[in-house]
Amino acid sequence: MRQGIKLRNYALRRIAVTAILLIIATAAVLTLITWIYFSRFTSETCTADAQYFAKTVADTFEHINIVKYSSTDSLDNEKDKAIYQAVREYLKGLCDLTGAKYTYLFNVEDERDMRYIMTAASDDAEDDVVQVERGLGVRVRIPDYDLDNILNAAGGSFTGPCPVNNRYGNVLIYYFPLITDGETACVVGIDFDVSAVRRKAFGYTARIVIVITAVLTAVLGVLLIVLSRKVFSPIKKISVKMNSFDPEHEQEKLDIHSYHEIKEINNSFNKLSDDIRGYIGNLRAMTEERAKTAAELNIARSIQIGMVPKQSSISGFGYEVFAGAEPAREVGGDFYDLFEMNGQVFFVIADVSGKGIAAALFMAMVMNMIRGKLRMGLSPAEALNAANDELCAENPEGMFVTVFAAAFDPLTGELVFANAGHTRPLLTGGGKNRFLDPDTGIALGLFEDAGMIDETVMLGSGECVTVYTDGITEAVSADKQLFGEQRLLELAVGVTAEETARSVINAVRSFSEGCVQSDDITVLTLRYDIEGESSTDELPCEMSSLGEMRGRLLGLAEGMPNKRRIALACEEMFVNIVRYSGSEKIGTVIRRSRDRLAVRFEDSGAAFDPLANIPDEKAFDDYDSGGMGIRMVMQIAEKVRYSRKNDKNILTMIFAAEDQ
Amino acid sequence: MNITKEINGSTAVIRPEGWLDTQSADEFKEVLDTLGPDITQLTIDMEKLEYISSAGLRLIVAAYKHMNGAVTIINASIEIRDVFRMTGFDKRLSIQ
Repeated sequence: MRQGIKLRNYALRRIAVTAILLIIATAAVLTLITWIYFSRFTSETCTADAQYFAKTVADTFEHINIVKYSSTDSLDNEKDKAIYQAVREYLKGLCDLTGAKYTYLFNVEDERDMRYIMTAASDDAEDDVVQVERGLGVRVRIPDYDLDNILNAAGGSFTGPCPVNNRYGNVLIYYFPLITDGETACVVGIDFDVSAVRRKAFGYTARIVIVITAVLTAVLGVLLIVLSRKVFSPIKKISVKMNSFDPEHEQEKLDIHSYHEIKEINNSFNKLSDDIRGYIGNLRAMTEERAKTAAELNIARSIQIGMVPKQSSISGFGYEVFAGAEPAREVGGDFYDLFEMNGQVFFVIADVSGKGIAAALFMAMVMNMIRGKLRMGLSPAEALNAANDELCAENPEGMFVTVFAAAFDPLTGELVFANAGHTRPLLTGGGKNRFLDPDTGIALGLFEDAGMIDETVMLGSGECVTVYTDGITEAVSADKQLFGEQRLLELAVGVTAEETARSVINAVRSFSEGCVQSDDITVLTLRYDIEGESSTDELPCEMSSLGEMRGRLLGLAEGMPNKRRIALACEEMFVNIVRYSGSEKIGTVIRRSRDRLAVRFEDSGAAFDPLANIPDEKAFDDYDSGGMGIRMVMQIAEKVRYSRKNDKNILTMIFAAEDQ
Repeated sequence: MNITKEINGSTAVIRPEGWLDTQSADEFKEVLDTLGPDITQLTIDMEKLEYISSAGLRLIVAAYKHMNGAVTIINASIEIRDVFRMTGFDKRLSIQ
């Protein structure tokens, strides 16, 4: 606000100062011009007066010879004296009439001297002094500066004005010859007082300059007042309004009465402020919208990160699974899932079409759907087919997803998997790397009859299966090359599952160094590792087989500090089966991994789940009636699982190697 | 399995050796069954016992009831003590 006022004063002051300077300059120029004009004018007036003077004198003395009074002697008689005086009075009168200061008559003698005949002065000139100094008969030497003029006049010409500054003052002198009876009788000089002339010119000049300057100043004053009221004051008001502009609140509009342009400024400002208010309103709405969208995106990312951690691993008897995900900047649709259930390891890797929140939600739905179906006990192909049916039934967005789902039995090394349009799994660690080439089905969500089938591969100890999304094979390098399957085949190395998965991720990362990661990268590796297995020949289902079973077990458990506890649990379970199953044969699978031992008993007796009815801790006195064995098994084994498959009871126990 | 029995007045000391499992439990039972009513204190010396399963434990419970609790177990290995701990035997039996 202060700035506005300052601005106004500043501008007005500048204009005022400039105008005053202009007026002063105008006055100065005017003074000069007027002065020159009037100087010339008065000088011309003097010349005209002098000519008039000369003509009058010439007419008057055409026949009166006043030269005969050129010596003092001739004034001896009274009559001549009276005539001399009369002529002098006459000349004096002419001086008063024409404004001349002096007039004097003289003769040139010896071409160097002048001899005065008569001098007359106007009323206000110092007659007495002049009368003596230029009196009758006074002879003086002609000053050098006057000589030419006087000689010129003596020669018969009207000469002047000759500006002379002598002791009689600053004068303009005119010389002309007085002709009497056709002869030059004498030379007449007329002095005009220059000071008087100048005073006159100054008087005219001063009057004109004062009047014009006053008029100009008055005009300027009026102009400044008008400017102030009509221009600067409204501008100041608009400026104050602009400074106090508040986009949040509607403000009263200024009503400016001024020139068109100022009104235009005011109208423009009013329009501008309305526009700004409008824009700010829009901007706020947009910002809120964006914040909302960002929040939604964060939710989407949270969903994704929550369901698909950056890395995750599980391990158990004979296996370890490691999964790593590198999400792209935008929320994408890769996901993996891995879990263990009933001694089986399940893993799923998938890539949902599209990105963003829709993909994230679709991903969440598909992931839960498949996990639920696998947990229900469906095989990978059954789970994918069932999921496909559901997705096709209701998929308005037309989204689809490629999925690889597998179930792995670490006790047998059997990997059952189904592939719905996903990339080929990679098998490493068994000497030469190779792709498993399954009968690939079509991506889920596209066609009702996806027709996935289960495929089986038996993994050998030390082998790894790596599954991945196309973010790996379709990674692009700085020179626009695709990572491709061949590089994957060559670069996937590592002993553990994590090393293998990370080797793939790192290879892709260094391959596409300097490029923005455009797609999610997800890799999952399962490694199978067993150190030994016993004979899997079936045993007769009778008590006498206990020794053989235990022999196989202890042979494999050699070096395990807790081998007797393991033997105890196995005996209890074995005896249980022999006593109650009624089966003829009992199948035993015993395998050892680096840190675990797994034992599986299979019998074809009536379905019986020994884990279904584990007795509570009994009173000590009731222990002789049984139930102690299964309780011990539960305490010794890391995991005990029962399942019934193909009319067989399958009981699996996993024991961890203990450091005792 | 090899089981030795030593009677000293009313006190009997039984020393099972090796593995006391479901199959050898019968032998152990036979030895316990030979103890007459004049025996009032039973000591089971497990110094040479490497292994015991629930079949053996059940016989010990039966003996415990039969002797009205006058059963003492001595020289049990850490592994066998662990089995007692798992089954809660250590809370009732006198294990030295």
